Amino acid sequence: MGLSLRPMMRFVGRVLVPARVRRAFLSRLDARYVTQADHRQDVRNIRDEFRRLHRETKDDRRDDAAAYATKESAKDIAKAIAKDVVKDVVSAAVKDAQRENQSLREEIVALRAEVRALKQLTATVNKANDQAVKGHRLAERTAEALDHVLQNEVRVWQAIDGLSAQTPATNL
Amino acid sequence: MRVKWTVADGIWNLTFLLDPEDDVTGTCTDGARLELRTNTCQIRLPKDRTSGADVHPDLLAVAAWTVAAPWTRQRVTFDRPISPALAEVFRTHWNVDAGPVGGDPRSGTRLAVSYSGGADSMAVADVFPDAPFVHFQRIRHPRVPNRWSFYRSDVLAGLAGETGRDVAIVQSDLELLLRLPGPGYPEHHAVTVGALLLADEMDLGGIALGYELGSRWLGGGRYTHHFTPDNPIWSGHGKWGSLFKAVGLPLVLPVAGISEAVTMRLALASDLRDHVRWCLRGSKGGGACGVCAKCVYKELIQAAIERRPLNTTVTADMPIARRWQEPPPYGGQEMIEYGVAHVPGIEHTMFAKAAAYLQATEESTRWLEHCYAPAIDEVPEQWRKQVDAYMVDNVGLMTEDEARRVETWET
Ligand SMILES: [Zn+2]
Repeated sequence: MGLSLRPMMRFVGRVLVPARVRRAFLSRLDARYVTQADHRQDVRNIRDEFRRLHRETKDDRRDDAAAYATKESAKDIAKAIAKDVVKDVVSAAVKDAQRENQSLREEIVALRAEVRALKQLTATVNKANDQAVKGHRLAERTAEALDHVLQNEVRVWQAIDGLSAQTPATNL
Repeated sequence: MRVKWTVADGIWNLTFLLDPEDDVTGTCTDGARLELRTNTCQIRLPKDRTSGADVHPDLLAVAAWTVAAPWTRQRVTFDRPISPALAEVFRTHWNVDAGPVGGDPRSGTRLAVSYSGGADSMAVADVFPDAPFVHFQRIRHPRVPNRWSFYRSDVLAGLAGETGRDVAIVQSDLELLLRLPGPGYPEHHAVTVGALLLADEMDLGGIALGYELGSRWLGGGRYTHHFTPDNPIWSGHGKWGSLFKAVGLPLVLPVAGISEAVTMRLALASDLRDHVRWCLRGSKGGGACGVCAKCVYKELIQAAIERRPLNTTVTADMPIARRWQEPPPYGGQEMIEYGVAHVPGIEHTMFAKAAAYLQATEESTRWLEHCYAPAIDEVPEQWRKQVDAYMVDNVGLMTEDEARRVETWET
């Protein structure tokens, strides 16, 4: 069977042989470059060995594949679990964050509303203040004007009385 | 000046008309320049105390005079005849021609306390624990917009009512008659209008007021700032003292011999202490305002008698404290001296400058802890003994040296 080393090596190299098997094969191969007969025997041996190894490898590979699959699936499971956990954790964290975000958002909204209300209040107060100041000034002026009216009334009565005293015949 | 009273349901309305020589400007007996706003006011007597229109004309005349005097130049014509004795006081002490004249003078027997709720009148109340109170409560004037809503006369009236004493609360808008310097009594004696109008109903023969040593003898407040035995406002023989005597309601000043440090001490030791209030701006529950000049002044006195640091938020840079950053004289200077001499840490307060100017010590202000005996002698005879006993027991009389401090007082 024209099985050259190279493709085999390629094969060996290509196939993911477990490191232990590969090491054993290579060490035997190096030791066989001696005589023709030896060589043939060696080749036979090698072929057997190879077959054995191949079988072994196949088994190994099967096992390995199984292991790998197991490992992979474990990995997957782990990954999945991890993913789930992470997802959970993340989602919990995200949820937390979202919750926090939400509450912050609500807070901001509330604060904004508060600021708006305060602004409005300030505006109202300022306006009211302006009006109050104006109103106060107006009230002051009105009161002062009224003071003068009242005082003038006293004076007018004083003058009328003075006149009527001077002209007793007139009935004022 | 022509004066006219009308009455309905315990509400007395006063109208006065100026004669040609009268003016809307005038001077209070304490020397303050005044300006009249209007010529009507009302006095509301407690519903259960009114005796209808049956009030002696002399009482009505003096009540009217407490608001009409500053504007009157030569004569006053009342709407009912006054007794010759009263007309005589107008002539001799006021140089005012008052009439018409006719009728008999009045007299009464009981003493009432003109009770404001402050420490001084509370001390008077403590001297006469059985005397009824007459409390003056400012109300708004129907013709004058109220620009003074921060004055809580209702709170003071409430506190007076809670004293458990026999209290007649008399409401009046007469303080609004004054345009300048602002709402207030045209004459200090206007605070007694309630007692005057109730004197017959309550059989009053004297009205006790809380004017203390500074007001009566030292020319305190707005007055002369020196020893004033002939104080025209409060002395028994002055122009006002004689008027009140003539209408059978002599002025009685039971605490005129003691300083505000002593009246404060007596008030805070009296059973009425929970009702004391010397500020018109405080709320009912919240106490005095604490930041007006009166509150600061009274806090200085209280801290002094309690020998504790000043408790105030007012600092030297505040407008209210400006007066005490200047050199003397100060209003109520004897009490500023007493305060700065007794309050620990005064150099860290708004009174630091005043303390440095005055250089007062406990020794130099000790006379302010005792009673000036001539003040007791001035109390009408029927109440003198009680005042004398009270002062001897609770205060102690001034020595001759201490009395000399009063008689040489000059700021
Ligand atoms: Zn105050």
